[in-house]
Amino acid sequence: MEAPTHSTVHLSDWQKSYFALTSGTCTPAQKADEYRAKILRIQYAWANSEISQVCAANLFKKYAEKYSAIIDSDNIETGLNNYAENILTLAKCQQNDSDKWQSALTTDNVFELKCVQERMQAGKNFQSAQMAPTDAFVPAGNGVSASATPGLPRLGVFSSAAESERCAGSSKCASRGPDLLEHPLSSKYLQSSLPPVTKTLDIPPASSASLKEQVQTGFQVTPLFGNKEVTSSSSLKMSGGCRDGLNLSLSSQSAVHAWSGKRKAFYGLADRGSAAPSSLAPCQPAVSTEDSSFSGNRNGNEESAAPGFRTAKEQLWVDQQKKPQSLHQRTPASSYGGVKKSLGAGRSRGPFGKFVPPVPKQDGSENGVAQCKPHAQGPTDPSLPVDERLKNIEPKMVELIMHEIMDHGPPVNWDDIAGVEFAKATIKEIVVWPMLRPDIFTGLRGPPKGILLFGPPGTGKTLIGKCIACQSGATFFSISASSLTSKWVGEGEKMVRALFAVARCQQPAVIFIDEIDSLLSQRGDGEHESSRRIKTEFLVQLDGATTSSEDRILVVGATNRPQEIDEAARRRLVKRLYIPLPEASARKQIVTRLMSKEHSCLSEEEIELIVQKSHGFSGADMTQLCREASLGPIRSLQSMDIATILPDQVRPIAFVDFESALRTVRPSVSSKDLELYETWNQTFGCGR
Amino acid sequence: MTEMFLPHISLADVEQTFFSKVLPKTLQLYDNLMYELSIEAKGLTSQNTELCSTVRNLLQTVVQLLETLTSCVRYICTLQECVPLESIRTLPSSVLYVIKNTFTHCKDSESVYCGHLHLIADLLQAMFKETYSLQKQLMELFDQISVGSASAEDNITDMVSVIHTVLEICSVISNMDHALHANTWKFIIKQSLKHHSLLECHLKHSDILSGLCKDTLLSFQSCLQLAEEMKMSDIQEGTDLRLFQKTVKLCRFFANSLVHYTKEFLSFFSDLCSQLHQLFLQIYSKFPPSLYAPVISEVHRDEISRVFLVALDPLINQLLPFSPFMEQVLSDNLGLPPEQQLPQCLLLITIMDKLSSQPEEVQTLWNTGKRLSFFSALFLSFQQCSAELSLPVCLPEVIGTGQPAVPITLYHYVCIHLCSYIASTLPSHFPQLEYALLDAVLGSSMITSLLAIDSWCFLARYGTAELCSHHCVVIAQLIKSWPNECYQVSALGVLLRRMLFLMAPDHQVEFAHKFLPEEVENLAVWQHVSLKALNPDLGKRVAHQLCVAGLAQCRRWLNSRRAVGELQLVNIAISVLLTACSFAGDTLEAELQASILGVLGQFWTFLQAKQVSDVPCLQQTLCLLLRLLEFFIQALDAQLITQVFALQSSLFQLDTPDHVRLAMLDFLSSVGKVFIPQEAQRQVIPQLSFLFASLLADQTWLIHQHALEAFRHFAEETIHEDVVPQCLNSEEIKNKVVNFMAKVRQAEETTEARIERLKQERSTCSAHFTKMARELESTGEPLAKRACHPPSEEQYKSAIGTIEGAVEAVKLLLQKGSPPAWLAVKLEALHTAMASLRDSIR
Repeated sequence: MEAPTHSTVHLSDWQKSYFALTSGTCTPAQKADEYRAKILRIQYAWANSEISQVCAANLFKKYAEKYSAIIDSDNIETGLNNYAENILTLAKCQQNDSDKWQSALTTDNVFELKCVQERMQAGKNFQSAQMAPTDAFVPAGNGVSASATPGLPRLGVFSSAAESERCAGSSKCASRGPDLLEHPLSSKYLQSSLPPVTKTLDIPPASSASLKEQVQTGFQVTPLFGNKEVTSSSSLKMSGGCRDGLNLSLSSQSAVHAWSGKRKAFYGLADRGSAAPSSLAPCQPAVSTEDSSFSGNRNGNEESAAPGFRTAKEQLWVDQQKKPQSLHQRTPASSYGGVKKSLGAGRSRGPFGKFVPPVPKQDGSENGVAQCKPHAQGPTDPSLPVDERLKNIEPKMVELIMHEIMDHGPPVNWDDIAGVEFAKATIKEIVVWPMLRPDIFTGLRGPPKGILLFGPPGTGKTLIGKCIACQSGATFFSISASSLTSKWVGEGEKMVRALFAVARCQQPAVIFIDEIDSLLSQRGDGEHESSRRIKTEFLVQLDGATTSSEDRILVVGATNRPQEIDEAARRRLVKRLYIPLPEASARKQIVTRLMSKEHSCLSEEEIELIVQKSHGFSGADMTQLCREASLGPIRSLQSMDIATILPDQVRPIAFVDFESALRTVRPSVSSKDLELYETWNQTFGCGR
Repeated sequence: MTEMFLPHISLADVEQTFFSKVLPKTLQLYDNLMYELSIEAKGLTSQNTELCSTVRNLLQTVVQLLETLTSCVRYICTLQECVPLESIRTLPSSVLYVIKNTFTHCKDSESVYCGHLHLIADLLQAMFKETYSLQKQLMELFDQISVGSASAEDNITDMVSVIHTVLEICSVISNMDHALHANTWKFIIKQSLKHHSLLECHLKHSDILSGLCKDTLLSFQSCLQLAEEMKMSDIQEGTDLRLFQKTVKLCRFFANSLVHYTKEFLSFFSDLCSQLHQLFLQIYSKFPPSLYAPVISEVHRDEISRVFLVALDPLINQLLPFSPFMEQVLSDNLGLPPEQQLPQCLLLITIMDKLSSQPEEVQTLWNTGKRLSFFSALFLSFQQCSAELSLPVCLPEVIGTGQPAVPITLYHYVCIHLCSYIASTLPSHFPQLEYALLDAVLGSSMITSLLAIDSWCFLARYGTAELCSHHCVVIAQLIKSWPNECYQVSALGVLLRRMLFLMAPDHQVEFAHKFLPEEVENLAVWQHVSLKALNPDLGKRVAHQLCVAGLAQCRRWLNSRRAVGELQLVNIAISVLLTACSFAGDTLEAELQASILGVLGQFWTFLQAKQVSDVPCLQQTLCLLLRLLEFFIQALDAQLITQVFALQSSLFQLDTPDHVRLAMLDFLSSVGKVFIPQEAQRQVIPQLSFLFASLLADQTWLIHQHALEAFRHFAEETIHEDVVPQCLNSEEIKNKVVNFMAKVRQAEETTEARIERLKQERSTCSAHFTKMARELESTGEPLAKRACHPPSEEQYKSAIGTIEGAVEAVKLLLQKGSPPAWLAVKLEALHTAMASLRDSIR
């Protein structure tokens, strides 16, 4: 094999970073590393003269900004907080004179530094090189042109203007007093520390509309955290206030201006004391947009992260304060590291939890199909690190689920399902759209946890389940009830738990359970203990104490014995959709579709006739009918040897074949059964 | 004779009456024996039994002689008292002479006896053993010897010569026997230390030190070799492992000896620090995670570092207060080979970790180095580690209290260590820190800039709010007067942008006051920042003012003669509009939005492809306009869209620079959001697909990649689905896009291949850095001034270095693909030029 050229290797490297960054399963530290890798590659490309200096500078700026959004953010899940924790671990017992640091740079002397002078000169040379050919050139434009203004003199004027400004600036700088430090601790701060939190709603996040929506959804959580933080901050404040005086005094300056200052102090104190739920509402949406990297607004993350700033010194101080405290209190949260871990495991905020593609995808378009593939495959990549939430689950089971149950079949379109228009419309409305736009479908509009598809066998229930997964870009888990029921006691319920845990890591996810009646049949006295436990576990996982309203997992059950389903399960499968036998139009669609792939000579009338005669047939029956009919031409070949015949000697499928097929293929659903479905639909169903 | 006479002579007389008379004769005898031996040995064959027995007899005699000497020395030892050196002065030198020569003989035996070793192997073995015990006995004797404090010069000379002879013996036996070797060294160290005050001025420290360093390195290398073999043959236990463990222990012994020795004689090491420095560099360059280290298993790696490297650590502690060592380590023209770049960086970090717990004067020593300050040296060294950073190399580090060490990337490692040192910086050293940070930010290595920016942000958070604000002002001032559009500005811009977020709110107000957004000359500052750092009210106000000022500037230019020279200011104005729009977005007053859109439209009416491709400044304008368009993408009318696409596609037929292509891609990826008006579709859609198709087929991989990303984004959003297949006109591109969508990567490489490639790339990078540095130098000094000085040797060196670098680069290029036709001609011309140069200096 030919050795790959350097540029393909670079490309492949870059793509690796890119895929890692867009996978949504990257920790912030990994992300930072990936961005650095990108910058290194840009640097090499520049050094190797693959790109120009301007291009390198632009790219550097672009990626350095994305990178800094991660480094400077103090959100535990998305940022690295300037590595403060790492650094302070290293720097534990060293002197700290940072308050005595005096800058030797002034706005004047900085220009006298050798490094500055040299480089500025180089920069000017570069610029004049850029300008040189243009000195005598004036854009003709609409004929508005005159003599040239040379570039360099102009520059001189500019810099001399800057010079005078500089002098002014430095004098101003000198007269600035450090009076801020002397501000007393304002008691107002305590009273006013709640309003800032609620204010998050009023402040319009200045980016796209979807971001705004997100803030509102995220806000449901905010008051709770806010309160906690306030109480804990007040308790810590007594001891820790003085050191933070700087920030506090800043915050008491004026009601409006102090907003971010308060936030700052707020974080400074509360963060540490109350086990730090540091991601306030506005931080969350920005994260998800960054994750998906679809966001047109590149700065979203960095911007929203900023208000949460606290200086590392404060952190060190609080750290030290905490040590004696924890001796007295013996709180379980004495170690910062430990606390952080438990926060990270919070189920509601998985990296995929807030995945929001900003624009809905078109149903059935080519893109839609192409899109859902990477989504479904990305997370299953075995080389990716295992999610923390899967820690308590047996790895064997996780693997089993990843490989056996997660479905990687060919993508399915709504058009592939004939008929059942009502069911399709309902599903789009309550399932697919919310998955695509979780920002709009909130609160009462929120998607149901489960739906039940019931109807006679062979009517396309499984296909619908697959289609849901595909069109919503969700990971599709397809299981049959039997794979969950194991003969080993306890194994089955573990399996159920593992399934949901994996699904939570792969959000959004659709769990499709065929023949759900066998799993969730009425709980009776006579049944086996283990199957009962599986059932209970299932119900709990589906909607119980451990599940969060933010989880985007949809359970789709399919059954042809809806009447046997336990009533508790029935409640949880909120939408119960009847998938009836295909109507005439749908049957026609099936026949045309299947025949279009075959060599046939059916007229419109003949098809119409077949459709008529196949009343009461299910989708599967229709397929069987066509299959049978397609064998007709072969059967009529009696005279010739099947081994020697050429493919084009086989005659097309004709109406007669269907006539004979109709004699052997009978509908598989009896009218009595149908009645049963109808009545059940009328009692519990959600359709017409 | 020994047994009969010796006991009857008193210790005081023994030298006079016995040793001085007998020993010279003994030596004479020994020399004769050895001489005969070497003569006879040449003819030795298994057939010649006579000769064989002669040789055997000779050897026998040597062994007897050795035995006699041993008993002689033993006797002195048994006297059980303190032996003054004077009383036995000829004994040690004679004995050592014998020992040395015998060992040499044993060592050379293979060549001396030319393959007939088996005939006399038993006797040689006996000889070796006897010498061994003789040496041991002598060492015991020296434990008892006293060198009178007031004794004569002679004594000192004797003692010194003893030590030096033993040192020679050491180099003879270095790979014969571990234990013997170690004991011999032990003797040297012990005796040197014992008579420390007497000998310190007379010992050849450089010999001892270099011997010690050499032996350390040798045994370390044999450790690695053993470990590598074990790794390859997958052996977990057995003799190899035991040998390995023994060798590691030997290494540890050497390290400890080095520490002891250094501790006592440090003051004599002024010129020897480069040896110690080299020792560190060489050891770490052969040890993982160096790219140049052999592959060894984790267990062995741990063992080496646990047993050996740990023992070296105190050495650094000792050397820290020693200024020659500092000068050596921080010297700015180390000219290290590639494999020692990472070790140097790690050494600096090790030093840095220790510095913060050192007394102030030691810290001062390091921070105010003659040439480079410590921080600058670190940044410089970090910059050289591009290969290790790209791999990336990982190092274990404890990153949280009470947690086990986890491997983290080199960058992360350097960053947290640097920041933790910054956290403990003394106020008196703060200026050096500031200078180094600024220098690194402005440097030509992006990753070093990034490191400096990261540490500066940490510093801003760790220090006072006033400091942060002051730095912001300084940086902003720099940006303001820096020529726009060169790469340093982008680094400064990133720094300012990040720092602004870290500023206290009222300082931000002051900042906005100091750099009033409505004044034209301040726009250069505001183009880099994000207004989201400010509090919302202030942000809104600033955004408004920026818009007004930016628009005014643009209009002024549009309504004037539109001179190219003034485009610079226009570019800044457009950047500022970008800043405002990215902050305010839709919340911007409708009036302003309309004005911006209007100005945008005006710009597009006169931009012409030919001009743009000729004028770099105008290219910049175009890029900025494209970015600004992204914000108004929904509001564009059919005419403007048509214009925008027409310009882009006609520009593409000319030669478009890469940064313009990138800007186009950014724009194109946002086009997915719009519905192209019916009337424009016929014209725009072919152009759109043409642009995508050409950009997807771009030769530069970075552009190609960005095209893939942009195309993916576009394809996901657009409602003009029919465009998508049109863009993929060639099968190759189609495959690439499909692979990208499916997250399939091409060309995976093995770790070995990757390491090899990175090593090659390192030379490209360092050539680039030297080139940039040279450009700086050439601009730093006016040309006229330089002509006055006769050229220095340095200048010659650097010029020749350039030539070598360029030759290397051409070599690399040739490996990558076929050269252009003119290359051969050029090379020929260069060759002639070289020849004439050579002739001129003859």
